[in-house]
Amino acid sequence: MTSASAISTAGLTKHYGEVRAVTDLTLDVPSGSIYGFLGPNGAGKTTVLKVLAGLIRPTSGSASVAGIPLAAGEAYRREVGFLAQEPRFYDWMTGRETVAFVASLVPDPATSDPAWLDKIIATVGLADAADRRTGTYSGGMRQRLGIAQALVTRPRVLLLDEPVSALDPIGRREVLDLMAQLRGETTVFYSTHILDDVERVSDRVAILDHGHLVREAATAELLSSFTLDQLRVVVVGATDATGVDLAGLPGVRSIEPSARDGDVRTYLLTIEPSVAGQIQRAVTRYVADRDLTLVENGLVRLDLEDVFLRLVDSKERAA
Amino acid sequence: MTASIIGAHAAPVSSNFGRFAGARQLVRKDTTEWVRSKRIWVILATVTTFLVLTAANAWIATKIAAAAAPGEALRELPSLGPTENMVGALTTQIFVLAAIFVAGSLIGRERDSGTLAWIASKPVTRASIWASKWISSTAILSIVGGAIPLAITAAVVTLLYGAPPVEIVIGLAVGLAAVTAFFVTFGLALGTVIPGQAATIATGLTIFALAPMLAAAIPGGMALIPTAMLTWPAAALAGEAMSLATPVVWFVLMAGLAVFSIRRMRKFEL
Repeated sequence: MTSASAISTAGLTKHYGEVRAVTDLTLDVPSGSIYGFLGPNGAGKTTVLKVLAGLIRPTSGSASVAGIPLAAGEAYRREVGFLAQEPRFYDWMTGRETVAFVASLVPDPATSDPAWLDKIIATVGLADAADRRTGTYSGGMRQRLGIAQALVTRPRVLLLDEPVSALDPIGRREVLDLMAQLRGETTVFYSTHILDDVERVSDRVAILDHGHLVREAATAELLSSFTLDQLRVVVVGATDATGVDLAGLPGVRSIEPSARDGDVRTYLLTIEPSVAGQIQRAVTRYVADRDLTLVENGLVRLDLEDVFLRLVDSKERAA
Repeated sequence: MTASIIGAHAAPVSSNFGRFAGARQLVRKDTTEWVRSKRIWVILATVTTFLVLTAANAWIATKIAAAAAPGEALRELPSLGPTENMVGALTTQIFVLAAIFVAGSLIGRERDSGTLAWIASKPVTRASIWASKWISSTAILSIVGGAIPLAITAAVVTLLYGAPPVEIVIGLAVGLAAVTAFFVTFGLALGTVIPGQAATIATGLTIFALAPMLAAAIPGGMALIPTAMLTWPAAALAGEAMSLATPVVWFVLMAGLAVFSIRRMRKFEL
């Protein structure tokens, strides 16, 4: 664990008999970061979040939050705010009572200050519905209440299991903006399958598949690591020979004609990442020498969905 | 720069908050839930009706017999003594059924709905969650399924047969609370073992029905079943020589069930 780790796991494993939900998960989540936890259904994301929330015991391995080990029980959970995938509250309580009740569970009078409760309710956009019973809330309102009750104790770590999955596009954007505002104030560790959202707000991502960590990196680093091996070249006036010539350039591993519109042809070159710049210059020279018009000569930028599918697919092939 | 949302964190606390962390807040929450629910009125009305009708049974039977055979000597009619009818009213043990129904579903209901997982993710202990349910349910049931119906029954008995001895009424109230406490513990314990509310309640009622039959087969066994505590305090207050085995067995069984079910709850994977 590094001194700046908000969450640290070492060899975290949870097996249910023959079912290996999570195996040997080692993570260090930097303090104050927004950390996206990705994986296909059944990858073990919820299991990890439940272990970190203190709801299930790991088969082996350890976890800590702000240096406090999971085994510390309620002292550990004091530092954690948790939102379940399908949050459930007492339907006889109002939203305000629910938040106040959670606030009362920590020995810090500041968390039960009515002004603070009002602020946190307003922050999640529930001010108008705060005095309604939660049994009358929609799924989206329950999700907002879930975030409010997770935040109200001022936790060092927020664990959010699919926090935006039940929300409409507007609600989703509001929650993501709220998460972005929390950057630096607390650590947000959240699972999701909506990769656009991760790309928008996450500082770092971890990808889990079949209970194993496939990759963990800063979001930008992860994306860039997959953008250096493909070059898109669009040429006006290209002929059938152009593709053959481009494939013969030093450092080009393969070429794939991806589109043709009249004499405008698009090629996708898989290249040696270390010589990307040289290949781009060689392409420019080649086109100029033949009086062709170069429309595009740039590295392909993959989005997180492409990266995710590549990582998971390659692992499945390896298996 | 955007405004701070959560502000400063409290200093981390590395030690445990205590075995019953959060218990006070949980008791307040569970009691509020009781007070706001309709269950409280259903239990009050049902238990009171059963107790009053059972207490009035001898008076009603006498009136019916007198109307059917006017002028004839009435034979083999129930006693019209206030103590007998006061004690007799409790033999229905309807309050035990109420305790099993209510306590047997408490943990299962919260586990099924997901609120148990929600609460367990907070800085409270599982022992606190269990204890708050036990305290609030025992207190509420002892009042709405015990003290109030008993007071109403005592008033009806006084009206129909004369005033029962005060020590008998007090003793029965204590006994009723003791039996309620036991069956709340029993219901909660079953809820930690048997999945599903219906199965929990059915198992509880079966054990409740079988226990006296099995105890009757053992010499002195009837004094050892928890329902023997119902009349034990009243008899002791009335000066009868009572065996201490009854309260000791009641307490040991209840404490054992409590420890067992708290341990079970600690192992719950939520």
